[in-house]
Formats: sequence, structure tokens, C-alpha cells
Amino acid sequence: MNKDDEFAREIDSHLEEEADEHTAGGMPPAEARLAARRAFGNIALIQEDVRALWTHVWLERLVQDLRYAFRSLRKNPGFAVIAMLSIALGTGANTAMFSVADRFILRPLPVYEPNEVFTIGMPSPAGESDGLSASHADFEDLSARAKALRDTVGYFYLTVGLAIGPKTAPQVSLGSLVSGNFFDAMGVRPVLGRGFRQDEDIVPGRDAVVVLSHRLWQSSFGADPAIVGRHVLINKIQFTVVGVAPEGFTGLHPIVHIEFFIPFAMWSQLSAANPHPLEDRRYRVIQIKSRLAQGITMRQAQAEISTIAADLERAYPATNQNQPFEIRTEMQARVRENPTGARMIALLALLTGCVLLVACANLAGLLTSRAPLRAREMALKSALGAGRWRLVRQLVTESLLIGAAGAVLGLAFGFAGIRLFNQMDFPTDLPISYDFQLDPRVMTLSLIVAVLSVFVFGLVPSFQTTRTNLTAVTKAADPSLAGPRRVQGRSILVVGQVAVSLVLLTLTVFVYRGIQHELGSGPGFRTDGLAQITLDPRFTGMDAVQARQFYDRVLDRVRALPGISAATLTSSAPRGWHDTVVIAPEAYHWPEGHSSAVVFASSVDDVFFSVLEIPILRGRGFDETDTADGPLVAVINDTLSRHYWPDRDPIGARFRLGANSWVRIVGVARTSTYLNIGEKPIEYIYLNRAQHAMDQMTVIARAADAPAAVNALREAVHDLDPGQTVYDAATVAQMFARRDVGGARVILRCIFLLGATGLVLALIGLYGLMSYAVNRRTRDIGIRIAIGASPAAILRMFLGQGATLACAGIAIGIPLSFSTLTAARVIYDSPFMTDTTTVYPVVIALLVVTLTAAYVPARRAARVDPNVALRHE
Amino acid sequence: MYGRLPTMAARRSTLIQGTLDLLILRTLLFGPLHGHGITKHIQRTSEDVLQVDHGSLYPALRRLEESGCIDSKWETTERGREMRFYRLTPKGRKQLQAEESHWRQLANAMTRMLRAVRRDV
Repeated sequence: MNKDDEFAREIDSHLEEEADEHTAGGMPPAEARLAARRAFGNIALIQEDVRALWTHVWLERLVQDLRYAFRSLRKNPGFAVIAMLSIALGTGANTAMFSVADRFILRPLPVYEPNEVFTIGMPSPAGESDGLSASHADFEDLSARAKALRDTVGYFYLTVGLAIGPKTAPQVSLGSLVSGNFFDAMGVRPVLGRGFRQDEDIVPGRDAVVVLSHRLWQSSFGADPAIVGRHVLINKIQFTVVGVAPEGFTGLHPIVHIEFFIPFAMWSQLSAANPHPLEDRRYRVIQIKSRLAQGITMRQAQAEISTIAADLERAYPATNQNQPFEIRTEMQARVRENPTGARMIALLALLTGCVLLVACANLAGLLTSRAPLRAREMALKSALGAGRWRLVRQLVTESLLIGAAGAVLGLAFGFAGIRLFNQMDFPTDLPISYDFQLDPRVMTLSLIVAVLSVFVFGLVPSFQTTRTNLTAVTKAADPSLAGPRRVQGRSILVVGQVAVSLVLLTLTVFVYRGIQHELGSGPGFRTDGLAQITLDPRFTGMDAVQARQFYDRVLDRVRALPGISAATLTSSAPRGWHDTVVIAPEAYHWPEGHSSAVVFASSVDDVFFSVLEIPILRGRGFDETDTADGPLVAVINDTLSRHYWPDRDPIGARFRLGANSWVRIVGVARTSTYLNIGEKPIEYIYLNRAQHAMDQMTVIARAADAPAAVNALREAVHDLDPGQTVYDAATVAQMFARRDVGGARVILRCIFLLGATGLVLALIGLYGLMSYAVNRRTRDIGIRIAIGASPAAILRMFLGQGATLACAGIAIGIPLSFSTLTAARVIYDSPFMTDTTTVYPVVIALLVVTLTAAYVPARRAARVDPNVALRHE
Repeated sequence: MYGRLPTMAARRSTLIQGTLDLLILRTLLFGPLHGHGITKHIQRTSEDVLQVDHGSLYPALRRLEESGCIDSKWETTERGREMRFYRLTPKGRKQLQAEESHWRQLANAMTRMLRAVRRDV
């Protein structure tokens, strides 16, 4: 029974009760009923009053408004479509953009109270990345001493071979070494089993326990509910599974997705890169996260950790000199660690902001010019007694309908954009990926943006409309004549749109040229005709000596393969993972507070430079005379050379590597690119493989048929040891394409789409305004033609009007473009950015398309038939 | 053309704003009662001084029910008629106390005002 019926029944019972009383007093029943009704009053009115209290009346009105808005939009499909598309393009671009920013910078850590978590460590800038890290020993001292901190955790990455049983072949897997308090302190509760106990991270090598990621548990263990207590083999060492991390928790890094967690105490058993990872204070690779103690500010925490760093410096001068602790918020840490990503986001934000601006201008123009046309309708309605509030409500409903439809369409565009961004990839089999997602926050944001833009641009004109003077509007033969100021306002909007789209196009062209140039100038090493394969003999439990012998055998075998003309070993595949070393060039005058530098490095063999065709500019590459027991030697790149030996030949100079081994420089190689194309020049050191063994090495072979050689490499390794795990097996060209060409293509396509979108929107704006002006002046044109104006003159008049707008927009746009370019150089720089002549072809192109957009309505004006035009009213 | 706005405000002026709510709550203190009974009780108790307008009573009942001061149930009267009975909720009881004391203050203030002798002449 609905509320209305129920109330009707209640009133009936009331009336009957009342009538009963009257009949009891002797009144005839018919008269009694009438008397009861009289006493009650107007039933319908009361019913309506009661109904007004119920919310569904409000809904009824909304439905009524929506139906009306829908009908009025259907009468004007062109307007509705353009308005919706404008919003959709504007919000879609911003949705995609936000999801990228979200992945890089904004998304909170997947832990309890993520806003409380800070990053602490010692600055270790390498290349452009300015991250914080610490040694395990320093981490332990920090967490034991700092009173301003609580829940201090540390972690580090580890690539291992993981086998689910003794008989299965190990698979390459990316895990994390973590401090014993990791799960408890971060408030991450395993879905099965438990996190680590504090005592499992105390005695080195005693507690071989592991927590699996949810993903690994599902993919490799079939989501076995009895997994806890089972054993897995990590680098042939048996570990007991104690828990499964919650779904979606893959460590604390936005891009690196961890597959399992083990306590720090097991570190020495799993790594040969450093024999004493837990004690060596120079081995600064741990990431530290922490929360502030109750009532402590970031500044107070910084003061305390500075004191601790000073104490450590006094206690361990050999290792901790000039090693201050620093605290950063999660956002600061992410931006400084990944300035390239941050810059890309800033660039995209600039472009999408421009697009949104043009889209909003379109919307404002459309709604404003519609306002006078609707003025008569509104005036009529208010004359018929509709309240002003009710009219505004109806207009707002109409705006919101457009906004909501635009937002939904915008989400589709945004989703397409995210799919485009997801084509950006890391060339590795390891679980490292961007994984951009359209999450609820992104959707909410785009809805807010859409509704807000419609509200601002829909509501303002609707207030204007409802204030319309009734008599003036109904009297005027043509209501649109009422607003010369509107045309003026709209002209300003169109001029602005043309200006902004010029900025957008200029930026697009500059960035496009820059990226094309980077791609064209190449990575600085050979990519074609090369096959690569990565392996790590530690996965199968070999020690360092066995590993080196195994690599020698692999190399011998590969070199003997038919079709392979050369083969080299390197610890860093091109576009792979680069190690860092701490160096101190001899006799270098350090600035205050510095005494060493972190530099990217890899270990390579004697034919590396010739196989990858990296030219040696001075001195020599490595050769057979550089043996394991001979003097330590290195090849540096010329960026490093220019930094530390600016005006002398570095050949023969020495630098201290790590604790106290001195390495002599024997050659300078030309700087190539290391992390990705278009990077700022990176300082780099090549060490000799014979003198600096690394766990994991990549074989790179030159072959006429590189794709076939990839399989040959894989087979060669398996012939020697069938249980050996290989990964990242591909041609170097494929890896390069996945990382650089793929990434650049995505960025290029995205920038191109944004530029095109902005232009199309601006053209729609211009075309719309011109058509509107022509329609508005149909009668005027008719009179002119009737008294002798030629169609050509009419065409010229309107074309001239369009050209004026376009030229005004361009005149404003050119200086605006130059200043934006200057600003944009902070974000993205290439030698072309200063080449301002690039602007002029863009200007000419823009002029041509804007005139075309103006030409179509102008021609329509020229064809006006005076007979028809004058009979118009 | 569009839905008419409620016009309760105008017709409720026969009783001081908010007084009707107090009278309803007070009436229900003696036990559950239907709309007709509430009207009769108020008229009887006030010796016909207070006339309850049905156009105000039912919206007031809805409002009180909406705010949780009363709830309702269909029950059969002694004479066998199905009627909707309203009952005081604990929240309504509290509301009644608050409104009663508020009303007393107001009444006292009014009485003092009306008895007062002008001394500032």
C-alpha cells in the first residue's frame, strides 16, 4: 500500500468515526456523513499538503524537469551534441591525465593511515633521480635511537629464482627483503597466516620464512588454502610460507610489484653482490618508511635524525662521513625520485588544462548564445505564472543533463586514454609495470569537473535569462536582436579559444619535433642484429666462483654457435636495471658537505664496447690484460669525465671505489643513453667483469638473424644446465622498442591528440559563432542585398569578421606561445625549443583552418535570398 | 503548471507555531490514539477553546513521525473499525519534556509581562 492510499484510508476512518459520533447524537446517517466532511475541511488540499512533505514529490518534479530538458535538447541536437562532446573531450583528457598523475605521485601507499608515513634516508642522487636510501646497519641504529619516530620499517628488492617444489624449475621472481616489523608497523594484515614476528629478523640466516603476495599465491599455488606451512625454494634454499599478503598489496613502490617478502636476516644467504649486506655501512640500498611519534612535527623529526646521523659520523668516520639523514613526505619522495615522471605529468597537465579551457569556452559560448533565443520561452512561461526559481531549476536540470552525459562519455574517452598510456612498458619479465587504472577517485573527479564546468557555464547564463524583461522580449520581433553585447562576449571567447589552441598546437609541434629528434638520434648504442638473454646462476644455488665459471662456459658455447659473430657479458642489459657504486675521484675538490658520489655502473667484459658499438673516445676499452688479480681498471663515460676532470685527461687518474679499493681509469667512452631515450646525460662507470663479479648477467650476441639467435642463446644455456632459469630473452631492438619507441609513441600520440582536440574545439567555437551571427543578421543581409550589395561583398563582410577574430586570437596567441614555451622548457627541453621559427607554419595552418571554419557560414550569408529573408517575420 | 507550494503556514496561525506538536505529544502521553481521537481529546480537554484544524493536524503527524517522535500502527478500535493509531516513542517523550518546559517558560514570561505595571512613566 503506498503512502497516498494509506492516507486516504486514514481520512476515511476519521470521517466515519466523526459521523458515528453524530449519529449517536441522533442525526440521520447521510447528514452525519456530510457534517463530518464539513468539519474536516478540504480533503484534497490536506492530502496535497501531506504529500508535499514526502520526498517522492521532489523526485516527481525532478523527473518532470529531466523529461522536459531531454525534450528541449532533442529539439536542438546540434547544440546538445557539441556541448556534450566539449565536456567529454575536456574531462576525458583530464581523467586520463589524473590517472597517470595518480600512479606516479598521488595514490596513497596501500598501508594503514598512509598519510602518516614518511620516507627517511641518506640522499643518494644518481642521474636525475634524487632518492633516499640507507645501509642496513644505519637503519637499525636509526630505528633503535630515534624517539621522534615510530613504526620505522626498511625494505629492499631482490631478484631470485623461486621454485614451488624441489623438482620444479625455478622461475625468476621479484621479492623484497623487509624488516621484521614490516607488516605490523604498516598495518598490513595478511589474508592467510601471519606477518613476520620481530624475532624472525634477529639471527642472520636462522628463520627462512616467507610471506607470499596474493598474486603469486594465486598464479603459482592455485590459491591453495593450506599454503601456510608449505615450503618453497628460493635460490635453492628452503623457505617456509607463513602468510599471504592481502590482495593488491605488492610492496610500497607504485611501479615495482613485489611477489614475496622475506626478513632482512636472510639477506646474506641470498645475495652475492655484497658479502656483508647487513653490516656494511657503505651498502646504502635500503628504503626506509616511518611514522612520526605522537605530537612530533616533521621539523622536530628532522632535527633528531640529523643528530643521529652526526653521531654515526663520529662513530664510523670511514663510512658515514657527510651522510646526513633526511625526512621527506611520500609526495616529496616520489617527485624527487622520479623527476622525469613528474615532468611528464606537468607537461600533460598543462596540455589537458588548455584543452579543458577551450572546451569550457565552447560551452559558455553555446549556452550564452542560446540564452536570448530562449528568453522568449522563459518570458512566456513566467507570464503564465511559473516562478523564477522553477525556471532556474529547469535550466539547471538541462545543464546537469548535458554535464552528466558529457561526463559519462568523458569517462569513455578517459578510459581510452588510460589504455593508451598502459602501452608504456618496462622491457623486462619482472613484475614492473605502470598499471594505470580508472579508479573511483578518478571517476569522481571527472564527474565533479564536468558538473562544475556545466554549472558555472550553464548557471550564469540561466540567471541572466530569467532576469529577462518580459515586455521587451515578447514585443521584439526577433528576440535574438536583444543582445549585441552577447556577440561581443562570445567574440572574446572565440579569440581566447584561438589563442589557447595556438599555444596548444605550438607546444605540440615543439614537443613532437623534440621527441622525433631524440628517436632519430638513437640511443647511443647499437640495437639491431643483437640478441640478449639474462641469467643468474645463484637461482640454482651456485656460489660466486661456480657462477663465474658457468658464465665463462656459456660465453664459450655461445661464441661457438653458428650465425653468432660475437658475444659479450654485461651486468646491465640495455634499458635494464643499473647498479650504482659510490666513488670518490682522487684529488677532487669536493664542495662543502660532500665527499663521495653515487654513480650508475655496470660490469662488462672486454668485447662489450665493440659489440654494442659504443665508441671509446680516449684511452682504451678493456682487454685480456685486465685480469682478476691485476690492477683495478675502469672505463668512464665522457659526462663523468667532464664533471670530475674538466680540464685534464682522465686517463691514468684514479678514483676510490667503495671502502678503499682504488681504480685506475683506462678509457673514456662516449656517453650513450642508459635509462631511456631523451634523458639528461648520465654519468656512468663501466667496471671490468673479471674484477667485479655481479650475480646476474646478460649475454648479448651479435647475429645476422637476431630473433633466431634469441632461441639459440636459450638453448645454449639449457644445454649446459637444464635447470637454469633465463629471462628477458629478446632482441635488443625489441627491448629498445618496448621501452623507448613505445613510450615515445604513446607520449607523441597523446600530445598529438590533445593538440588536435583543442583545435577542433576552437574551430567548433568559431564556426558556431559565425553561424549564429549570420542567422541573427539574416534580415539585415536581405536588406543589403535588396538595395544592391553583391553576394561577394556579403561574403567578404562575414569572412572579414571571421578573419578579424582569428587574427586577434593569433596575435594574442603568438606572444602567449613564446612565454609558455619558455615556461615549458623547465618541464621538457630539447634544442628545438628555442627555434621560434617553428611557430610560423603553425600560425599559417591555424589561419587557414579558422578561415575555412568562417567561410562556410559566410557563404551561406552570401546566398541569402532577400525575398525569403524579408518575409522571415 | 507546476506543483503548488504547501500552504500550511497560513492556516496554522490559529495556533501558535509549534504548539500543535506539543498538544499532540501531550495527548499521546496517555496512550496510543488515532487522528480523530487526538482532535476530540484536545477540544474536550481545552473545553473547546482550542480548535484543531485537520489541515494542520495530519501534516503535523507526518512531520512528527518523520522526525521519530511518534510511530503509527493500524489497529482495530473497540467498535471494530480499522484505524491508524499513533504512539509516543522514547524520543517523543524527551521532546515532550523539552517542549513543555519551553512552553512553561514562555507562559511565565507572558504572564509577568501582562501583570507588569509600567514604572518608567
